[in-house]
Amino acid sequence: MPEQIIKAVNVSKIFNKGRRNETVALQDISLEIARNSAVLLRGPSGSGKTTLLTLLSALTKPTSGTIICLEQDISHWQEKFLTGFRRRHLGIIFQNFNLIKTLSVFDNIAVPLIPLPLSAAEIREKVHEISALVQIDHRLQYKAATLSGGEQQRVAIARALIQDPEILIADEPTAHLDSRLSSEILTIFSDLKQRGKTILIATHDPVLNGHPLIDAVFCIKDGRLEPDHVC
Amino acid sequence: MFADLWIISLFILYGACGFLLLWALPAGIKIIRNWDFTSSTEGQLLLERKNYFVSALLQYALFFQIILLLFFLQLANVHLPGLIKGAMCAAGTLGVNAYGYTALYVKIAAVFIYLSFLFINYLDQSETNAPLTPQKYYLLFVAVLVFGFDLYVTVLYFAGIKPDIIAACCSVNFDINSAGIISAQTATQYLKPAMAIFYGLGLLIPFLMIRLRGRIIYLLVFLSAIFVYADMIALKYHFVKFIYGMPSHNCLFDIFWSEYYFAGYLIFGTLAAYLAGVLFLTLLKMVQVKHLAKKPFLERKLKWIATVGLIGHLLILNLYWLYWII
Repeated sequence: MPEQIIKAVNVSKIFNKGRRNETVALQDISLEIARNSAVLLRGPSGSGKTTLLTLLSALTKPTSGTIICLEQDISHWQEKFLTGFRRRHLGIIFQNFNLIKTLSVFDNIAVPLIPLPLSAAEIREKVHEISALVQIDHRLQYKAATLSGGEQQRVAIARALIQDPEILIADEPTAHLDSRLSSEILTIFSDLKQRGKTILIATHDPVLNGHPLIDAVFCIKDGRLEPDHVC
Repeated sequence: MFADLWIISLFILYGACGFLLLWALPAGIKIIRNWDFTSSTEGQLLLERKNYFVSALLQYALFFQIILLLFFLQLANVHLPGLIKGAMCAAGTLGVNAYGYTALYVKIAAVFIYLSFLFINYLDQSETNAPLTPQKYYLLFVAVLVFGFDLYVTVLYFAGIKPDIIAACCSVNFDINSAGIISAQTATQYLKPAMAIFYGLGLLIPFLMIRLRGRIIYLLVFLSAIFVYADMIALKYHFVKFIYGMPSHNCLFDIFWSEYYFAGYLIFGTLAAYLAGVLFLTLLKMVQVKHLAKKPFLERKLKWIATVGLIGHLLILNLYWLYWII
Protein backbone atom coordinates (compact mmCIF):
# COMPACT_ATOMS: atom_id res chain seq x y z
CA MET A 1 0.00 0.00 0.00
CA PRO A 2 1.69 3.27 -1.07
CA GLU A 3 2.08 6.03 1.50
CA GLN A 4 -0.74 8.61 1.41
CA ILE A 5 0.37 12.22 1.18
CA ILE A 6 -3.11 13.80 0.93
CA LYS A 7 -6.34 12.43 2.30
CA ALA A 8 -9.78 14.03 2.15
CA VAL A 9 -12.62 12.56 4.22
CA ASN A 10 -16.25 13.58 3.57
CA VAL A 11 -15.22 17.05 2.50
CA SER A 12 -17.96 19.53 1.62
CA LYS A 13 -17.72 23.15 0.64
CA ILE A 14 -20.77 25.37 0.73
CA PHE A 15 -20.53 29.04 -0.22
CA ASN A 16 -22.87 31.60 1.39
CA LYS A 17 -24.20 28.96 3.76
CA GLY A 18 -27.61 29.75 5.17
CA ARG A 19 -28.25 32.58 2.73
CA ARG A 20 -30.55 32.75 -0.27
CA ASN A 21 -27.59 32.45 -2.66
CA GLU A 22 -26.20 29.34 -0.91
CA THR A 23 -24.11 27.25 -3.31
CA VAL A 24 -23.00 23.70 -2.65
CA ALA A 25 -19.70 23.49 -4.53
CA LEU A 26 -18.53 20.13 -3.20
CA GLN A 27 -20.36 17.37 -1.38
CA ASP A 28 -18.91 14.47 0.61
CA ILE A 29 -15.66 14.13 -1.30
CA SER A 30 -13.34 11.41 -0.02
CA LEU A 31 -10.10 10.63 -1.77
CA GLU A 32 -6.52 9.58 -1.13
CA ILE A 33 -3.43 10.60 -3.06
CA ALA A 34 -0.26 8.53 -2.85
CA ARG A 35 3.18 10.06 -2.43
CA ASN A 36 5.15 10.52 -5.66
CA SER A 37 2.14 10.02 -7.87
CA ALA A 38 0.52 12.22 -10.50
CA VAL A 39 -3.21 12.62 -10.03
CA LEU A 40 -5.71 14.13 -12.41
CA LEU A 41 -8.88 15.89 -11.24
CA ARG A 42 -11.19 15.82 -14.23
CA GLY A 43 -14.60 17.27 -14.88
CA PRO A 44 -16.50 19.85 -16.88
CA SER A 45 -16.29 23.58 -16.20
CA GLY A 46 -18.06 24.50 -12.96
CA SER A 47 -17.93 20.95 -11.63
CA GLY A 48 -15.93 21.93 -8.52
CA LYS A 49 -12.39 20.98 -9.63
CA THR A 50 -10.85 24.32 -8.71
CA THR A 51 -12.74 24.44 -5.40
CA LEU A 52 -11.39 21.00 -4.49
CA LEU A 53 -7.93 22.09 -5.57
CA THR A 54 -8.07 25.19 -3.38
CA LEU A 55 -9.12 23.01 -0.43
CA LEU A 56 -6.37 20.46 -1.00
CA SER A 57 -3.83 23.25 -1.44
CA ALA A 58 -4.87 24.87 1.88
CA LEU A 59 -6.06 28.05 0.20
CA THR A 60 -9.53 27.72 1.71
CA LYS A 61 -11.10 25.62 4.47
CA PRO A 62 -13.85 23.04 4.06
CA THR A 63 -17.34 23.66 5.41
CA SER A 64 -17.23 20.14 6.81
CA GLY A 65 -15.01 17.11 6.59
CA THR A 66 -11.30 16.60 7.14
CA ILE A 67 -8.27 17.21 4.98
CA ILE A 68 -5.05 15.53 6.04
CA CYS A 69 -1.97 16.67 4.22
CA LEU A 70 1.49 15.34 5.08
CA GLU A 71 -0.04 13.65 8.15
CA GLN A 72 -1.42 16.92 9.52
CA ASP A 73 -5.11 17.78 9.80
CA ILE A 74 -5.17 21.18 8.11
CA SER A 75 -8.97 21.44 7.85
CA HIS A 76 -9.38 24.14 10.48
CA TRP A 77 -6.10 25.92 10.92
CA GLN A 78 -5.69 29.66 11.37
CA GLU A 79 -4.78 31.40 8.12
CA LYS A 80 -1.29 32.22 9.32
CA PHE A 81 -0.52 28.51 9.81
CA LEU A 82 -2.00 27.62 6.43
CA THR A 83 0.21 30.27 4.82
CA GLY A 84 3.30 28.78 6.46
CA PHE A 85 2.22 25.28 5.47
CA ARG A 86 1.76 26.27 1.84
CA ARG A 87 5.09 28.04 1.81
CA ARG A 88 6.95 25.03 3.18
CA HIS A 89 5.25 22.13 1.45
CA LEU A 90 3.18 23.18 -1.57
CA GLY A 91 3.91 24.66 -4.95
CA ILE A 92 0.84 26.06 -6.67
CA ILE A 93 0.47 26.88 -10.35
CA PHE A 94 -2.61 29.01 -10.93
CA GLN A 95 -4.80 28.86 -13.99
CA ASN A 96 -4.04 32.49 -14.87
CA PHE A 97 -0.42 32.20 -13.70
CA ASN A 98 -0.80 35.13 -11.23
CA LEU A 99 2.56 36.58 -12.22
CA ILE A 100 3.47 40.15 -11.28
CA LYS A 101 3.54 41.60 -14.76
CA THR A 102 5.73 44.59 -13.99
CA LEU A 103 8.51 42.50 -12.45
CA SER A 104 11.18 40.60 -14.33
CA VAL A 105 11.07 36.84 -14.68
CA PHE A 106 13.92 36.59 -12.18
CA ASP A 107 12.01 38.62 -9.57
CA ASN A 108 8.77 36.69 -10.15
CA ILE A 109 10.53 33.40 -9.52
CA ALA A 110 12.32 34.80 -6.46
CA VAL A 111 9.15 36.17 -4.80
CA PRO A 112 8.54 33.11 -2.52
CA LEU A 113 12.09 33.41 -1.21
CA ILE A 114 11.58 36.95 0.13
CA PRO A 115 10.55 35.88 3.67
CA LEU A 116 13.46 33.45 3.97
CA PRO A 117 16.82 34.35 5.47
CA LEU A 118 18.77 33.82 2.24
CA SER A 119 21.59 35.91 0.82
CA ALA A 120 21.31 37.52 -2.61
CA ALA A 121 23.85 35.01 -3.94
CA GLU A 122 21.81 32.06 -2.63
CA ILE A 123 18.64 33.46 -4.19
CA ARG A 124 20.44 33.98 -7.49
CA GLU A 125 21.73 30.43 -7.45
CA LYS A 126 18.31 28.92 -6.70
CA VAL A 127 16.56 31.00 -9.39
CA HIS A 128 19.14 30.03 -12.02
CA GLU A 129 18.88 26.35 -11.10
CA ILE A 130 15.07 26.24 -11.28
CA SER A 131 14.81 28.42 -14.38
CA ALA A 132 17.23 26.08 -16.16
CA LEU A 133 15.08 23.10 -15.14
CA VAL A 134 11.97 24.58 -16.75
CA GLN A 135 13.99 26.11 -19.62
CA ILE A 136 13.19 29.76 -19.01
CA ASP A 137 16.72 30.83 -17.99
CA HIS A 138 17.22 32.75 -21.24
CA ARG A 139 14.40 35.16 -20.31
CA LEU A 140 15.32 35.99 -16.71
CA GLN A 141 15.71 39.74 -17.26
CA TYR A 142 12.52 40.12 -19.33
CA LYS A 143 9.39 41.63 -17.83
CA ALA A 144 6.71 38.98 -17.24
CA ALA A 145 4.24 40.99 -19.35
CA THR A 146 6.40 40.58 -22.46
CA LEU A 147 6.39 36.75 -22.37
CA SER A 148 4.27 34.36 -24.41
CA GLY A 149 1.66 32.13 -22.71
CA GLY A 150 3.99 29.13 -22.69
CA GLU A 151 6.83 31.15 -21.22
CA GLN A 152 4.56 32.59 -18.54
CA GLN A 153 3.49 29.05 -17.68
CA ARG A 154 7.15 28.05 -17.23
CA VAL A 155 7.74 31.04 -14.97
CA ALA A 156 4.70 30.03 -12.90
CA ILE A 157 6.07 26.48 -12.62
CA ALA A 158 9.53 27.78 -11.66
CA ARG A 159 8.00 30.00 -8.96
CA ALA A 160 6.01 27.04 -7.62
CA LEU A 161 9.16 24.90 -7.50
CA ILE A 162 11.61 27.43 -6.09
CA GLN A 163 11.16 26.21 -2.50
CA ASP A 164 11.44 22.56 -3.47
CA PRO A 165 7.88 21.61 -2.32
CA GLU A 166 6.82 18.00 -1.84
CA ILE A 167 3.51 18.59 -3.60
CA LEU A 168 2.91 20.46 -6.85
CA ILE A 169 -0.65 21.59 -7.53
CA ALA A 170 -1.60 22.85 -10.97
CA ASP A 171 -4.95 24.30 -12.01
CA GLU A 172 -5.57 23.96 -15.75
CA PRO A 173 -1.83 24.07 -16.56
CA THR A 174 -2.37 23.57 -20.28
CA ALA A 175 -5.45 25.74 -20.74
CA HIS A 176 -3.65 28.59 -22.51
CA LEU A 177 -1.18 26.49 -24.47
CA ASP A 178 -1.15 24.88 -27.89
CA SER A 179 -0.59 21.13 -28.14
CA ARG A 180 3.21 21.45 -28.61
CA LEU A 181 3.62 23.67 -25.54
CA SER A 182 1.23 21.47 -23.53
CA SER A 183 3.37 18.49 -24.36
CA GLU A 184 6.51 20.37 -23.23
CA ILE A 185 4.88 21.28 -19.91
CA LEU A 186 3.82 17.67 -19.36
CA THR A 187 7.41 16.61 -20.03
CA ILE A 188 8.51 18.96 -17.26
CA PHE A 189 5.87 17.41 -14.96
CA SER A 190 7.13 13.92 -15.80
CA ASP A 191 10.64 15.00 -14.93
CA LEU A 192 9.44 16.46 -11.61
CA LYS A 193 7.59 13.24 -10.80
CA GLN A 194 10.80 11.34 -11.37
CA ARG A 195 12.44 13.67 -8.89
CA GLY A 196 9.97 12.49 -6.22
CA LYS A 197 7.30 15.17 -6.38
CA THR A 198 3.58 14.47 -5.98
CA ILE A 199 1.62 16.23 -8.70
CA LEU A 200 -2.03 17.13 -8.59
CA ILE A 201 -3.54 18.51 -11.79
CA ALA A 202 -7.06 19.81 -12.31
CA THR A 203 -8.06 20.09 -15.94
CA HIS A 204 -10.76 19.41 -18.49
CA ASP A 205 -8.14 19.39 -21.27
CA PRO A 206 -8.33 16.01 -23.12
CA VAL A 207 -4.57 16.14 -23.77
CA LEU A 208 -4.07 14.46 -20.38
CA ASN A 209 -6.47 11.58 -21.05
CA GLY A 210 -4.49 8.38 -20.90
CA HIS A 211 -1.20 10.25 -20.58
CA PRO A 212 1.57 8.04 -19.11
CA LEU A 213 2.32 10.71 -16.47
CA ILE A 214 -1.04 10.15 -14.74
CA ASP A 215 -1.35 7.44 -12.07
CA ALA A 216 -4.91 8.10 -10.92
CA VAL A 217 -7.95 10.01 -12.12
CA PHE A 218 -10.74 11.50 -10.00
CA CYS A 219 -13.82 12.56 -11.87
CA ILE A 220 -15.90 15.39 -10.41
CA LYS A 221 -19.35 16.33 -11.57
CA ASP A 222 -21.78 18.69 -9.86
CA GLY A 223 -19.57 18.77 -6.81
CA ARG A 224 -19.48 15.01 -6.31
CA LEU A 225 -16.91 12.32 -7.07
CA GLU A 226 -18.21 10.11 -9.86
CA PRO A 227 -16.92 6.96 -11.56
CA ASP A 228 -14.24 7.73 -14.15
CA HIS A 229 -16.43 7.01 -17.19
CA VAL A 230 -18.90 9.80 -16.27
CA CYS A 231 -16.31 12.45 -17.18
CA MET B 1 -4.51 74.77 32.49
CA PHE B 2 -5.98 72.95 29.48
CA ALA B 3 -4.49 75.52 27.10
CA ASP B 4 -0.98 74.48 28.11
CA LEU B 5 0.97 73.00 25.22
CA TRP B 6 2.23 70.02 27.24
CA ILE B 7 -1.28 69.16 28.40
CA ILE B 8 -2.63 69.55 24.86
CA SER B 9 0.14 67.15 23.72
CA LEU B 10 -0.88 64.70 26.43
CA PHE B 11 -4.47 64.76 25.22
CA ILE B 12 -3.31 64.25 21.63
CA LEU B 13 -1.68 61.04 22.88
CA TYR B 14 -4.99 60.13 24.54
CA GLY B 15 -6.65 60.79 21.19
CA ALA B 16 -4.28 58.38 19.42
CA CYS B 17 -4.75 55.71 22.05
CA GLY B 18 -8.52 56.15 22.21
CA PHE B 19 -8.85 56.15 18.43
CA LEU B 20 -7.03 52.80 18.21
CA LEU B 21 -9.08 51.28 21.03
CA LEU B 22 -12.39 52.48 19.62
CA TRP B 23 -11.36 51.14 16.22
CA ALA B 24 -10.59 47.74 17.77
CA LEU B 25 -13.71 47.60 19.96
CA PRO B 26 -16.43 46.92 17.30
CA ALA B 27 -14.24 44.19 15.79
CA GLY B 28 -13.81 42.69 19.27
CA ILE B 29 -17.58 42.72 19.85
CA LYS B 30 -18.20 41.11 16.45
CA ILE B 31 -15.65 38.39 17.21
CA ILE B 32 -17.19 37.67 20.63
CA ARG B 33 -20.68 37.42 19.12
CA ASN B 34 -19.97 35.52 15.90
CA TRP B 35 -16.75 33.54 16.33
CA ASP B 36 -17.07 29.93 15.20
CA PHE B 37 -13.70 28.47 14.35
CA THR B 38 -15.15 25.25 12.94
CA SER B 39 -17.07 27.22 10.34
CA SER B 40 -15.42 28.25 7.09
CA THR B 41 -17.88 30.89 5.98
CA GLU B 42 -16.72 34.18 4.48
CA GLY B 43 -17.89 35.88 7.69
CA GLN B 44 -15.65 33.66 9.82
CA LEU B 45 -12.71 34.23 7.47
CA LEU B 46 -13.26 37.96 7.84
CA LEU B 47 -13.31 37.60 11.64
CA GLU B 48 -10.02 35.69 11.54
CA ARG B 49 -8.46 38.54 9.59
CA LYS B 50 -9.95 41.05 12.03
CA ASN B 51 -8.38 39.01 14.82
CA TYR B 52 -4.92 39.81 13.37
CA PHE B 53 -5.93 43.40 12.73
CA VAL B 54 -7.08 44.01 16.31
CA SER B 55 -3.83 42.65 17.70
CA ALA B 56 -1.93 45.08 15.45
CA LEU B 57 -4.11 47.96 16.70
CA LEU B 58 -3.50 46.96 20.31
CA GLN B 59 0.26 46.84 19.72
CA TYR B 60 0.13 50.45 18.57
CA ALA B 61 -2.17 51.34 21.47
CA LEU B 62 0.41 49.85 23.86
CA PHE B 63 3.12 51.94 22.21
CA PHE B 64 1.07 55.11 22.70
CA GLN B 65 0.14 54.12 26.26
CA ILE B 66 3.83 53.72 27.20
CA ILE B 67 4.60 57.11 25.62
CA LEU B 68 1.58 58.53 27.46
CA LEU B 69 2.84 57.20 30.81
CA LEU B 70 6.37 58.54 30.28
CA PHE B 71 5.05 61.86 29.00
CA PHE B 72 2.70 62.23 31.98
CA LEU B 73 5.59 61.49 34.32
CA GLN B 74 7.77 64.05 32.59
CA LEU B 75 4.91 66.56 32.60
CA ALA B 76 4.33 66.12 36.34
CA ASN B 77 8.00 65.97 37.19
CA VAL B 78 9.49 68.68 34.99
CA HIS B 79 6.85 70.94 33.48
CA LEU B 80 4.12 71.31 36.12
CA PRO B 81 6.54 72.32 38.93
CA GLY B 82 7.11 75.48 36.88
CA LEU B 83 3.39 76.25 36.94
CA ILE B 84 2.40 75.20 40.45
CA LYS B 85 3.76 77.31 43.29
CA GLY B 86 5.79 75.38 45.82
CA ALA B 87 6.04 72.18 43.81
CA MET B 88 9.52 71.03 42.84
CA CYS B 89 8.82 67.66 41.30
CA ALA B 90 6.00 65.15 40.72
CA ALA B 91 5.76 64.49 44.49
CA GLY B 92 4.31 67.97 44.81
CA THR B 93 2.41 68.27 41.54
CA LEU B 94 0.67 64.89 41.81
CA GLY B 95 -0.31 65.63 45.38
CA VAL B 96 -2.12 68.90 44.63
CA ASN B 97 -5.43 67.06 44.52
CA ALA B 98 -6.86 63.61 45.05
CA TYR B 99 -6.55 62.57 41.38
CA GLY B 100 -2.83 63.00 40.64
CA TYR B 101 -1.49 59.73 41.99
CA THR B 102 -4.58 57.83 40.80
CA ALA B 103 -3.92 59.12 37.29
CA LEU B 104 -0.34 57.83 37.49
CA TYR B 105 -1.29 54.41 38.86
CA VAL B 106 -4.08 53.91 36.30
CA LYS B 107 -1.65 54.65 33.48
CA ILE B 108 0.75 52.03 34.82
CA ALA B 109 -2.13 49.54 35.18
CA ALA B 110 -3.21 50.25 31.58
CA VAL B 111 0.27 49.31 30.28
CA PHE B 112 0.06 45.96 32.07
CA ILE B 113 -3.47 45.35 30.74
CA TYR B 114 -2.33 45.93 27.15
CA LEU B 115 0.68 43.70 27.78
CA SER B 116 -1.63 40.97 29.12
CA PHE B 117 -3.86 41.15 26.04
CA LEU B 118 -0.92 41.06 23.68
CA PHE B 119 0.69 38.13 25.48
CA ILE B 120 -2.57 36.13 25.47
CA ASN B 121 -2.96 37.06 21.82
CA TYR B 122 0.56 35.82 21.16
CA LEU B 123 -0.29 32.47 22.79
CA ASP B 124 -3.55 32.32 20.86
CA GLN B 125 -1.87 32.90 17.53
CA SER B 126 0.83 30.35 18.30
CA GLU B 127 -1.77 27.57 18.12
CA THR B 128 -3.32 26.33 14.88
CA ASN B 129 -6.89 26.56 16.21
CA ALA B 130 -6.87 29.94 18.04
CA PRO B 131 -7.96 28.39 21.39
CA LEU B 132 -8.13 31.69 23.30
CA THR B 133 -10.43 33.48 20.86
CA PRO B 134 -12.96 34.97 21.53
CA GLN B 135 -12.35 34.90 25.32
CA LYS B 136 -9.28 37.12 25.05
CA TYR B 137 -11.47 39.97 23.80
CA TYR B 138 -13.02 40.44 27.24
CA LEU B 139 -9.65 41.96 28.14
CA LEU B 140 -10.19 44.51 25.38
CA PHE B 141 -13.30 45.70 27.26
CA VAL B 142 -11.20 46.03 30.42
CA ALA B 143 -8.63 48.03 28.44
CA VAL B 144 -11.34 50.37 27.13
CA LEU B 145 -12.83 50.84 30.61
CA VAL B 146 -9.41 51.55 32.12
CA PHE B 147 -8.70 53.99 29.28
CA GLY B 148 -11.99 55.80 29.99
CA PHE B 149 -11.31 55.91 33.72
CA ASP B 150 -7.76 57.13 33.11
CA LEU B 151 -8.99 59.93 30.86
CA TYR B 152 -11.69 60.90 33.39
CA VAL B 153 -9.26 60.98 36.31
CA THR B 154 -6.65 62.90 34.32
CA VAL B 155 -9.19 65.53 33.25
CA LEU B 156 -10.29 65.88 36.90
CA TYR B 157 -6.64 66.15 37.94
CA PHE B 158 -5.84 68.99 35.55
CA ALA B 159 -9.18 70.69 36.20
CA GLY B 160 -8.49 70.56 39.93
CA ILE B 161 -5.06 72.20 39.75
CA LYS B 162 -5.08 75.72 41.19
CA PRO B 163 -1.74 77.30 40.28
CA ASP B 164 -2.10 80.07 42.88
CA ILE B 165 -2.45 77.72 45.82
CA ILE B 166 0.95 76.74 47.18
CA ALA B 167 1.54 73.01 46.85
CA ALA B 168 3.32 70.93 49.43
CA CYS B 169 6.33 69.31 47.83
CA CYS B 170 8.99 67.36 49.64
CA SER B 171 7.18 68.04 52.89
CA VAL B 172 4.69 65.35 51.82
CA ASN B 173 7.48 62.87 52.28
CA PHE B 174 7.75 63.66 55.98
CA ASP B 175 4.16 64.45 56.83
CA ILE B 176 2.67 61.59 58.85
CA ASN B 177 -0.76 62.15 57.27
CA SER B 178 0.52 62.74 53.78
CA ALA B 179 -0.73 61.08 50.64
CA GLY B 180 2.01 60.15 48.18
CA ILE B 181 3.31 56.69 47.48
CA ILE B 182 4.02 55.66 51.08
CA SER B 183 3.44 57.85 54.10
CA ALA B 184 6.36 58.82 56.36
CA GLN B 185 4.67 57.11 59.32
CA THR B 186 4.64 53.78 57.52
CA ALA B 187 8.23 54.25 56.55
CA THR B 188 9.62 55.08 59.95
CA GLN B 189 7.72 52.20 61.54
CA TYR B 190 8.47 49.61 58.94
CA LEU B 191 11.79 50.51 57.31
CA LYS B 192 13.80 47.79 59.08
CA PRO B 193 11.30 44.97 58.40
CA ALA B 194 10.86 46.31 54.87
CA MET B 195 14.62 46.14 54.30
CA ALA B 196 14.68 42.59 55.66
CA ILE B 197 11.83 41.60 53.34
CA PHE B 198 13.50 43.43 50.43
CA TYR B 199 16.73 41.45 50.79
CA GLY B 200 15.06 38.22 51.89
CA LEU B 201 12.68 38.10 48.95
CA GLY B 202 15.34 39.49 46.63
CA LEU B 203 17.33 36.32 47.34
CA LEU B 204 14.38 33.92 47.60
CA ILE B 205 12.57 34.92 44.40
CA PRO B 206 15.41 34.11 41.94
CA PHE B 207 15.75 30.72 43.69
CA LEU B 208 11.98 30.13 43.36
CA MET B 209 12.21 31.19 39.73
CA ILE B 210 14.76 28.43 39.05
CA ARG B 211 12.60 25.86 40.85
CA LEU B 212 9.35 27.16 39.33
CA ARG B 213 6.91 24.25 38.99
CA GLY B 214 3.13 23.94 38.96
CA ARG B 215 1.38 26.24 41.40
CA ILE B 216 4.56 27.86 42.76
CA ILE B 217 3.81 30.68 40.31
CA TYR B 218 0.88 31.79 42.51
CA LEU B 219 3.19 31.91 45.52
CA LEU B 220 5.56 33.96 43.37
CA VAL B 221 2.77 36.43 42.54
CA PHE B 222 1.98 36.81 46.26
CA LEU B 223 5.65 37.25 47.17
CA SER B 224 6.12 39.72 44.30
CA ALA B 225 3.30 41.89 45.65
CA ILE B 226 4.97 41.94 49.09
CA PHE B 227 8.34 42.57 47.47
CA VAL B 228 7.07 45.57 45.50
CA TYR B 229 5.62 47.15 48.64
CA ALA B 230 8.83 46.55 50.63
CA ASP B 231 10.84 47.72 47.64
CA MET B 232 8.99 51.06 47.54
CA ILE B 233 9.67 51.67 51.25
CA ALA B 234 13.31 50.60 50.90
CA LEU B 235 13.75 52.69 47.80
CA LYS B 236 12.12 55.83 49.15
CA TYR B 237 13.46 55.82 52.68
CA HIS B 238 16.82 54.16 52.20
CA PHE B 239 18.30 53.85 48.71
CA VAL B 240 17.34 57.18 47.09
CA LYS B 241 19.40 59.03 49.74
CA PHE B 242 22.50 57.43 48.21
CA ILE B 243 21.44 58.37 44.69
CA TYR B 244 21.00 62.02 45.67
CA GLY B 245 23.91 61.99 48.11
CA MET B 246 21.68 63.76 50.65
CA PRO B 247 20.49 61.98 53.82
CA SER B 248 17.20 63.88 54.02
CA HIS B 249 16.14 63.69 50.37
CA ASN B 250 13.37 61.08 50.27
CA CYS B 251 11.83 61.61 46.86
CA LEU B 252 10.96 58.98 44.29
CA PHE B 253 10.67 61.40 41.39
CA ASP B 254 13.88 63.42 41.27
CA ILE B 255 15.72 60.24 40.26
CA PHE B 256 14.11 60.66 36.84
CA TRP B 257 15.97 63.94 36.31
CA SER B 258 19.07 64.31 34.15
CA GLU B 259 21.03 65.51 37.23
CA TYR B 260 20.79 61.93 38.48
CA TYR B 261 21.45 60.40 35.08
CA PHE B 262 17.81 59.31 34.66
CA ALA B 263 18.48 56.53 37.21
CA GLY B 264 14.75 56.26 37.89
CA TYR B 265 14.06 54.91 34.41
CA LEU B 266 16.62 52.16 34.96
CA ILE B 267 15.39 51.36 38.47
CA PHE B 268 11.71 51.22 37.56
CA GLY B 269 12.42 49.78 34.11
CA THR B 270 14.14 46.72 35.63
CA LEU B 271 11.30 46.37 38.15
CA ALA B 272 8.76 46.57 35.32
CA ALA B 273 10.68 43.87 33.40
CA TYR B 274 10.51 41.63 36.48
CA LEU B 275 6.80 42.26 36.99
CA ALA B 276 6.03 41.72 33.29
CA GLY B 277 7.95 38.42 33.43
CA VAL B 278 5.93 37.26 36.47
CA LEU B 279 2.67 38.45 34.86
CA PHE B 280 3.36 36.52 31.65
CA LEU B 281 4.43 33.39 33.54
CA THR B 282 1.16 33.58 35.51
CA LEU B 283 -0.88 34.02 32.35
CA LEU B 284 0.97 31.12 30.74
CA LYS B 285 -0.02 28.96 33.70
CA MET B 286 -3.62 30.23 33.82
CA VAL B 287 -4.67 30.05 30.18
CA GLN B 288 -3.71 26.36 29.73
CA VAL B 289 -2.66 26.21 26.11
CA LYS B 290 -2.27 22.48 25.84
CA HIS B 291 -0.46 22.01 22.57
CA LEU B 292 1.85 25.01 22.60
CA ALA B 293 5.06 23.49 21.28
CA LYS B 294 7.25 26.35 22.38
CA LYS B 295 5.84 26.54 25.92
CA PRO B 296 9.02 25.24 27.64
CA PHE B 297 11.14 27.65 25.59
CA LEU B 298 8.78 30.52 26.38
CA GLU B 299 8.79 29.65 30.07
CA ARG B 300 12.59 29.63 30.15
CA LYS B 301 12.74 32.96 28.36
CA LEU B 302 10.21 34.59 30.71
CA LYS B 303 12.00 33.26 33.79
CA TRP B 304 15.21 34.68 32.39
CA ILE B 305 13.62 38.10 31.74
CA ALA B 306 12.05 38.22 35.23
CA THR B 307 15.24 37.09 36.98
CA VAL B 308 17.49 39.47 35.06
CA GLY B 309 15.00 42.31 35.75
CA LEU B 310 14.96 41.57 39.48
CA ILE B 311 18.70 41.06 39.83
CA GLY B 312 19.33 44.20 37.75
CA HIS B 313 16.96 46.15 40.01
CA LEU B 314 18.67 44.91 43.19
CA LEU B 315 22.11 45.47 41.73
CA ILE B 316 21.50 49.07 40.64
CA LEU B 317 20.14 50.06 44.07
CA ASN B 318 22.90 48.34 45.98
CA LEU B 319 25.65 49.72 43.77
CA TYR B 320 24.51 53.26 44.62
CA TRP B 321 24.56 52.33 48.29
CA LEU B 322 27.95 50.59 48.09
CA TYR B 323 29.41 53.59 46.26
CA TRP B 324 28.71 55.72 49.33
CA ILE B 325 29.74 53.33 52.07
CA ILE B 326 33.01 52.09 50.54
